[in-house]
Amino acid sequence: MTMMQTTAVRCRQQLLVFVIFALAVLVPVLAQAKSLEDRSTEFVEKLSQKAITLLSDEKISNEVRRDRFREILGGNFDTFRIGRFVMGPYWKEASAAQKKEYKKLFEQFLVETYVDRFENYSGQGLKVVGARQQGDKYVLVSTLVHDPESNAMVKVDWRVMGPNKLMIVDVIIEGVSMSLAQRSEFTSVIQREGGKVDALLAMLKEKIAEKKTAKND
Amino acid sequence: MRSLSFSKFFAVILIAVVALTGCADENGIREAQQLEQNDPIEPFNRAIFSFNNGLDTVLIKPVAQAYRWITPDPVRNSIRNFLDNLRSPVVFANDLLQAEFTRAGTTLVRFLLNTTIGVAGLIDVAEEMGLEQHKEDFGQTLATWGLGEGFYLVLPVLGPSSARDAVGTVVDIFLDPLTYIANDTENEWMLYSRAIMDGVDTRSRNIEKLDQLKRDSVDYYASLRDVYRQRRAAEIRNGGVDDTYDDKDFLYE
Repeated sequence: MTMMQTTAVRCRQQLLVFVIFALAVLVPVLAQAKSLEDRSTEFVEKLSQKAITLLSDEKISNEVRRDRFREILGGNFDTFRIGRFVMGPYWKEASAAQKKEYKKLFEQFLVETYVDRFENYSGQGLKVVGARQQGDKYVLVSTLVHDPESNAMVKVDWRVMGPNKLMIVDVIIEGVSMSLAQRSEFTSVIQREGGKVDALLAMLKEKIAEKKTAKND
Repeated sequence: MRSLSFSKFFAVILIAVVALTGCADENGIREAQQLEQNDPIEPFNRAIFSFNNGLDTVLIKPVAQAYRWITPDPVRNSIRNFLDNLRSPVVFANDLLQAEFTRAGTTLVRFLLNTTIGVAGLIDVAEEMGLEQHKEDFGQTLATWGLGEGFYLVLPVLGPSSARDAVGTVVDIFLDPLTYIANDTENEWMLYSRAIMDGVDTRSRNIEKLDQLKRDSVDYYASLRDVYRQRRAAEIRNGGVDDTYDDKDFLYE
């Protein structure tokens, strides 16, 4: 009798351990079960809504807008990877100190360049029209955005990198990749100055200062 | 005779410029960069570019701004429709040359509908029936035949182009029935006014975009060069996705 009872208890214990173990393994797997394409689509949709709500708010000051933008940029765009990519072959040439300064300047440059696009944004969201996986890490999410100047829908593709934390690594507007365009420009600047990375750093500094004064006017 | 000596002079300058830039490169990275940017006559191009920029600042942009300010949007759109419709024989010819017969059919039906029901092309009735517009030119046709873009070339007034696309621009003139109609009836003004209208309207649709690119660029020339080359590649793919750059491009460590 006591024997049977202890067996039953042990059985129950074993079952409990099994269930806990199964849950621990299965829950994360189930959570990931959504395809990378679906997750990326959702990510881009949520990000655009968040960006519009937080940044197009007319009541906030430029300082607040800039802080919010920096946060959104840092959390959703892989600025380090993009920055490294757009330096092209010169990344390898740069010293540790140059890389550190470049990383800081490139982020500032992105903030100053893109923050004012939201200032007068009249709040039309983007429409996802498709998503396509490329390799095992990347998904290209295709969207349409309204362009007020030409009164036409512009095709904007977002290159999302996974598979774990999703980050945007490129934005492609009507077939023009911003990362590739930036790389072409930055490497051209360095090349024209005889391969000196410092030349790019100086020009970035100048551009950032120029944009800041333009905003204060 | 005079024009011959001018073209000789031009060729000598071109060769000298190519030779000079060729001599200048010393390390491997620089060579690789030059291959990537596809711009062996960069100093020449930059000179034309700065001339174009000046012309744009004092003439083209102000005219485009005035045009946009005076003309109500519906009128401006009708003018755009008219110009595009006038150009559809060239698009049709290039569709055929690319063996894109379905697209050729679309272009033909659009032309017939818009020229008649659409009042000489002023209203894009075909679009409302679901026949979407597309554009083609002989530069794109050459690309689909397998010809590379050739070196990057900035044309006076016309702006960014390439060896291939410049040839295409000339061939398109000969593919255009309007060229022959205007010449045969001695109405060359038709060609000039079409070219001017087209230029002004196109510029009026890119005022903010170009201002922005200029403002955001560390090197405006290099930015525009890349945007042009990427746009052309996208047009040649007819809107398809670019799979030519992948993981390895993101791995500069």
